[in-house]
Amino acid sequence: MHTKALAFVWVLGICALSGWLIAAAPNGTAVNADLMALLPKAERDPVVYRAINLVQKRFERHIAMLVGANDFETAKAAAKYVSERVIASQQLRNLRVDDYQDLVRRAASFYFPLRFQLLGTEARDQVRAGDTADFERAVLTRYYNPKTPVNSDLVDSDPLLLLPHFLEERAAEAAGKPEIEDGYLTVKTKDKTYIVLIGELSGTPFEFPLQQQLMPLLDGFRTELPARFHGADFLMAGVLPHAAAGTDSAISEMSTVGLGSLLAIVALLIVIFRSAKPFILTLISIGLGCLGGFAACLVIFGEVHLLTLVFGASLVGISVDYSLHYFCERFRKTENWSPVLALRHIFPGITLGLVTSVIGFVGLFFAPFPGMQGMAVFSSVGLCIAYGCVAICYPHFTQGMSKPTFERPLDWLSAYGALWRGERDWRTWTLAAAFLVFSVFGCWRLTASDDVRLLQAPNPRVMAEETRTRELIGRNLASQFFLVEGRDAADFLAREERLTEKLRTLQASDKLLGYLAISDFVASPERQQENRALLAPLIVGEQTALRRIAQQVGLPDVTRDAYASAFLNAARDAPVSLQQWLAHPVSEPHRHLWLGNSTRGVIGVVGLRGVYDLSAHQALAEVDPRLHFVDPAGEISGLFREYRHQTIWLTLISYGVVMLLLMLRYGLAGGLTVMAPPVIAAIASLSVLGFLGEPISLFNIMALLLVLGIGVDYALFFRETGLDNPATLLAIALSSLTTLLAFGLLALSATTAIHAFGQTILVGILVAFLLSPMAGWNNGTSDLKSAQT
Amino acid sequence: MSLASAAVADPLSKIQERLTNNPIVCAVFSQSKSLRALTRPLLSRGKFVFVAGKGVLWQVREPFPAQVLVKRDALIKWSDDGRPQRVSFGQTPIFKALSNVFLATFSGDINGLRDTFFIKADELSSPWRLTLTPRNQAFAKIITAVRVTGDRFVNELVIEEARGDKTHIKFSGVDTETCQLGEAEKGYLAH
Repeated sequence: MHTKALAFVWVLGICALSGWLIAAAPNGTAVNADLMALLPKAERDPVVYRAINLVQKRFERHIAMLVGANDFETAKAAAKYVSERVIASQQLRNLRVDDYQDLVRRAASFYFPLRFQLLGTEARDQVRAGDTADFERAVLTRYYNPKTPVNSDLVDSDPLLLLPHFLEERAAEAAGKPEIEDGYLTVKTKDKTYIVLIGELSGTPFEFPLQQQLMPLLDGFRTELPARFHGADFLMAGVLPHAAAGTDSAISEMSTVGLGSLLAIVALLIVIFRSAKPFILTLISIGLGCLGGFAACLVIFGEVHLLTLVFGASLVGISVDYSLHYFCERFRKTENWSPVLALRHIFPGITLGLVTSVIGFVGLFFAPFPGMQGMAVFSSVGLCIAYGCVAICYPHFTQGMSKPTFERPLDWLSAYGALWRGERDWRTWTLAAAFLVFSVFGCWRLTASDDVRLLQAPNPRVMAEETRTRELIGRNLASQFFLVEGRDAADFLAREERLTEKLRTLQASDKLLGYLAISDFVASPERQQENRALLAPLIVGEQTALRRIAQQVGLPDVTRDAYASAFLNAARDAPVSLQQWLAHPVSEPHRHLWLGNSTRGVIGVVGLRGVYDLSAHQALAEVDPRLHFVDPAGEISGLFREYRHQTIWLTLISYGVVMLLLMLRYGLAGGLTVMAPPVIAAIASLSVLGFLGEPISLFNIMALLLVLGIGVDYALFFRETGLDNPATLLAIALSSLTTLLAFGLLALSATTAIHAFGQTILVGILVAFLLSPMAGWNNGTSDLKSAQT
Repeated sequence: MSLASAAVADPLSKIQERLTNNPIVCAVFSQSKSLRALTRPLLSRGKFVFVAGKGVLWQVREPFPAQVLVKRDALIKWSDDGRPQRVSFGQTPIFKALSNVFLATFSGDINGLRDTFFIKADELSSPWRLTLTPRNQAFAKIITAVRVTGDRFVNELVIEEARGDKTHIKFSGVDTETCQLGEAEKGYLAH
């Protein structure tokens, strides 16, 4: 039989074609979870984009652990134990434990020969201002201050005390509260000594295997340390604990909500139809739809974004309606049921349903965002395939399906349907008026939120530990930073110096707390030359600052003259280069600021602390095309806001088109009555959000799109089959129940985004279902009257 | 070792008894720092204010005015324009140990110094004397001894360095009764 052949060709054809397209995809099947990838490509310069990604990747891998005990010796033992266990796990790299003193020693030995070319900022400003009196006074104050570590060795080789001044300035900006004791980085509180361990993850913290290997070990320290090293405790901060907590909650939500709703749906369908077949066929048609949608996205965009996958798959879920309508036909009170007749009966309804949904989703394709376009393709292709499955395959696979015997739900639904058949009286209008008042007040209270925190619901325990750890360590870099580009290393340093000069002005006007820049540790070649030129008149000659200082403090002439000739000899030295600094261990704590080569030259980061005036920083980057101010949280929020606006407009336009189409078929009043239930449902969900005080975001709007798509389907079926058909009401009831189970339960999620999605669907679908018989009013009542007469 | 430390426990507590425990101590200090590398000592003087729980404020008056607040974990310096600069002890652990000697002796809690120093006490003489020698090997290579003498308060503190440098600080005019903090001093101590 050729329908049988067609059914097999359809199923196997889609499997084969999708499989082939997926296998042949040049970039593989990698699902992109990077939020930045949702940004329109044209808006992001590829060099900057890659640099931001690199910064993000380094940040993600950073982990700080604190091991605390009542005394230093116990803390050391505990820290040693922790570091050994962690290193043995091979999941952490570059773990620093007890070699911080070496770092200080290395800094002194690296910078000592450079003392004539690297000046501290304060000293440099004083000399450059031409006021050598200020400079001399500052040097002498350092000599006489009871609290400056001046000693003979230092005075012998550096009588102007340039090196300690330089190192002190660098340490003040770079270090936080921790101090080095016995080579360990330590923080003391009233009753405890903490040792800071800093490391780098071997992979991204979002990798499940890494989480599984490392988290039990780290979490284990919390109980293990107090027992092994009396009263010791363990704290950590980084992206890893957040990512792991996110995975845990996702897994537990999936297994409770996800598995629970799946089981409930299976049970529901089996109870109603007394057969597993409807469920299996529905699963196949949705599965094929998603497979095809995925393949189509890969072909068109080269990749599929995680957000596309999640929302696209939800939208394909609308096709469950087509299947349910087909199966519910079996409940019709007629003896001559056959698969072909059943299909013929529902065909206009599901075809219109498909057309309206596809029109609704295709609108998204015109959004300038790759993520939205992906969703449009995924869901449209998926729906068409699922529709094809119902139309082509179901009749073949359901030959000889017996009439279900469980009729009670049908009676309940008929009773509900009967409510709508009566004349509209004062009760109808009172309800309508009450709803109007409710929705006006609800929508009045609506607020919007595009906060990036929508994506993450930080676990309170992890958050508290993070805050405590950061408090103890101090010195936290802000999430914002500058990217500085240069033609080469020297150009980079010079450009960065021009930026940091302006940053110091912001610092002086309390718009910025601090910054961290490579050029403070290794000045540009020009600046090194300039520093030497600035120092020359202070050191070489008869009436110099050096001579006056030497006389004041009693520096022997021999030492003084040796210093002057050392300065002259050093004048022939080449400036120290960025590469030399990077190659030396001294740069280790700040090497992450260097991002290396780009296609246009080189690129690096300036870290910021306490950014109190975003626009002032933004303005600094606007004067130079090679400077970029990056505010990741702000960018993602802006992105969400943009997406939200686009989605609202495109949804409105798409459903305007759908309404016109419906009016063409059913006339003005008919079109309006079909559109009324989904629109009222959408308004009801928004009003409920308003009353609950929950702000709307992109995720609510995505859910509204689903509510409209499904709501129009419900209404259409009533319009097409009339009010007197309990099979229709059953199909719609089952459809809304499965949708509520599958998506409405997401309202229980702890993640704000998922909760918002579920919450909107919960209210929207419930109202759309309850109101759907309204669509049968204009023709349903007349049908009914003609049937009764 | 444990026997030795048990033996010194007693004299230490005798000194501890003699030291008065005051929430606030004002004094005049004069420092003479003799560096091998210089032909004459660096002389400075100024006001010294100890406030329990806050730290020690050194106000150098001569020859170059400067303000430094020494706290448990860091010191804060004020530049000419009044902007505070915080310097963590991270880079200079020895410096920190020495600062703790001041904080400990003025707060009358000498026992806390045992973690860092071997302590030899001569509690019977008047004034009493303490000789502190660093426990840590690396520390001992730089500081040979810290000598403290005092009665109800610390009178004198001498730091001897291995490279031949010597710092001598004398405290006089110790005042715990009428010691009043000016607005500027309160401002400094608030940091």
